[in-house]
Amino acid sequence: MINKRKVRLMTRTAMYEKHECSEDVPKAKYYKSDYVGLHMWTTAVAVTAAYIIILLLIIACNFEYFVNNLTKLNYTLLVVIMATAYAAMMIFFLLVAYFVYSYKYVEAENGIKIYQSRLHKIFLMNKEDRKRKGGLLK
Amino acid sequence: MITGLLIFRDKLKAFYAKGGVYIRHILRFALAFLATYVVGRVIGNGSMISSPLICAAIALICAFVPLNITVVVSTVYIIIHLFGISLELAVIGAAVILVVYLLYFRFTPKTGFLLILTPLLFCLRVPYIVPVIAALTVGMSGIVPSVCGVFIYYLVDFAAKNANAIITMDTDNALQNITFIFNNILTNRELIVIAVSFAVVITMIYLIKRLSVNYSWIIAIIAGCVTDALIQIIAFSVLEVEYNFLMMLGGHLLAILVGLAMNLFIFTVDYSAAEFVQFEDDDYYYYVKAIPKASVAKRDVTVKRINDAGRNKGFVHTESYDDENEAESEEEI
Repeated sequence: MINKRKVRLMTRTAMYEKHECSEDVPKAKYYKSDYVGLHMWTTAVAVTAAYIIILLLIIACNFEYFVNNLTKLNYTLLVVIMATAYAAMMIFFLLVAYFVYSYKYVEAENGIKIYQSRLHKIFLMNKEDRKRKGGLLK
Repeated sequence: MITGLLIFRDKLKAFYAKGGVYIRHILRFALAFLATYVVGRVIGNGSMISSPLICAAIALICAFVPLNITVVVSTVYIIIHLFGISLELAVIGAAVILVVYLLYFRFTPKTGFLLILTPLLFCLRVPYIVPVIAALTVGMSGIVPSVCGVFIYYLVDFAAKNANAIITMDTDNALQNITFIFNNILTNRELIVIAVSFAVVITMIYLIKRLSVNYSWIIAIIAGCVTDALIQIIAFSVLEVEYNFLMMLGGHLLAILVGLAMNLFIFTVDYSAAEFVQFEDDDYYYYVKAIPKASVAKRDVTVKRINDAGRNKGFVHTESYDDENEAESEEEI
């Protein structure tokens, strides 16, 4: 005899495993601070790479100006502007990363909680089934 | 008419519930095929990679992979075409796309489709739909990919219009060539006007549709399209940019229609597709096909005449819906 409620629960569980589980479980392996911290580090690397690309594009676009004014440029000011731009960009994207990845972690945590609750219900149903059949449950 | 549309919407929902898996693959195939084929037509110069067969093969692969992979494949396809014209163009295209990937799509990967949809709609001469789609689907986070899509379109357009001049450029002065290309694109007043108007309109539509007033969606779509048209007409007139008034008017009317259709058929309905899952317990193997509860409301209109035929008043209309398809409610979380 097929237990309709169990089939429903198992179907929901299987659908979760098919879609969200592969994204949620790797997140749940970390503590929140570790997960967010790791992604903030990768964001820092990505921001640095993007900053270098943008800088190279700006230099390429104004190459003639830089070559013509090589001796007249105020290098101290240039370095200060570059450093400030880099710091501002970094702070902005780290803040974004902190909020985005904290949110994603909390969402994944909620998904896992519901998944575990369903698994527990299925476990209890199986236990009942086996008791009824007179089998042993380890 | 509204009832007819609502019934059609329910039928559409039921159809999607049954065949959602296949519809999704077909839509992905269509998007990837159009994105590659249209770019191939514009800057392909009849090369082998721009042939419809190659585009269909790429689209076929893209139909079975996540949408983000399609976005990556399409952008790589554009860069390959740009490389065919000039190394400098390819470098600029790759650099811009790489920066967007590094800074933006890390956080909101689901907005990536706008990056290929925007140039595609531009090539199909219906660019005014872009802000409506962006605002209704992903909200304000659609501004960055839409504006980048606008930039990619104008890069492709620049490559198409100046292909001969770019090919004959001095290859020893790569930096000068990059400066020339970049300056030509960034000083394009049409690009700047459209990018600004798209950003303003996406913000506007998003903010208005969130207001707690009746018909906020419809007001948002119409107000957004009217604002878009006004910004572009005024800016193009002031900056002396050539434009086709009738095309613009028609494009914005089409954008309003598309927005209203999206509102009616897509966003007010929860489209969840059929699922195929398999699992087992001690006694059985289960191969389950889970169909979402999407029952089509069957119209059953009966008209009872109460008075005699001579006086046409007092009709009683009863409308009932078939409840047999309603499954029992879920018990668990």
